[in-house]
Amino acid sequence: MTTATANRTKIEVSATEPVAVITRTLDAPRDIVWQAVSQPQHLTQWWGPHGYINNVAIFDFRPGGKWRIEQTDPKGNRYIFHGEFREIAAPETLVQTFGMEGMWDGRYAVDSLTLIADGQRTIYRVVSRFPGIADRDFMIASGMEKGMNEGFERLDALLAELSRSAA
Amino acid sequence: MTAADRLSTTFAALADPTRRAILARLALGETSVTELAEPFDMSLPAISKHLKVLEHAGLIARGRDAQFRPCRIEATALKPVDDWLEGYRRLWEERLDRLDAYLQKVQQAAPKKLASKKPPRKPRV
Repeated sequence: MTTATANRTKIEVSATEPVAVITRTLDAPRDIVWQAVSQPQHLTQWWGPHGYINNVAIFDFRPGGKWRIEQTDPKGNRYIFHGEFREIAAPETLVQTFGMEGMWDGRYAVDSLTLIADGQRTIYRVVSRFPGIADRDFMIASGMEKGMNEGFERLDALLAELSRSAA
Repeated sequence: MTAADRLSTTFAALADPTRRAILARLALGETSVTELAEPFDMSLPAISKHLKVLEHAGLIARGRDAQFRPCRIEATALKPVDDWLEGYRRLWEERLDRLDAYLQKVQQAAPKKLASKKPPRKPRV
């Protein structure tokens, strides 16, 4: 199954394998993209949703090293994401586990990121492997809720702005 | 059944090549079980078992006629799967939009550094 309706990000999920594949072309050379995904001072600039504050608590960037990012939303709610780096091959491959505290305790996805150079652009491809198909469906559904809420909040903000400028 | 349970049931039903082939056939139009079983190297009871799974997941509907029970695809059955994936896609789309925007910012801040990495062009003879 694929969904890419007029969007630049392609998502594919398999009905038989517990994976989701995310593909996107980024408008930057591979070395720059690698820095943005592998260095905490860059990561905090784009990683969380708009208006969220990211605090990189742990970032031990080596195979077997742990990472932990504490995210605070504008209302003060905290979300803790954590995992372990498994494989690092700059500037092409980064394999890490991805978990969320309180939500997916004991369950995590293994995200394999590959950066493919395409001239001055870069193809960003993540294969997210979940413990099982049911886990994948649950984990995607629980992550999605936040994304959708965020979408609605942004819509609210936009509507508020529009009504202000119309007044 | 909760929405999450229903989704799991739908995925479980789709996680089989025979059932996906049955759905592909039914996408072409309503048909009887006998007709449906023809291209498969399977007994009628085996096909019936697959149909039961698909029916339970709400992916197909079957006629009331006790003897023939024609099968047809439920067009709305895949809608929750689409919705589910759409939210996930949007999550990634937004995340990667931010990454792309940040990459533009970083590149604008240091264009000279990038340009100097290119080897000097040799004049053509």
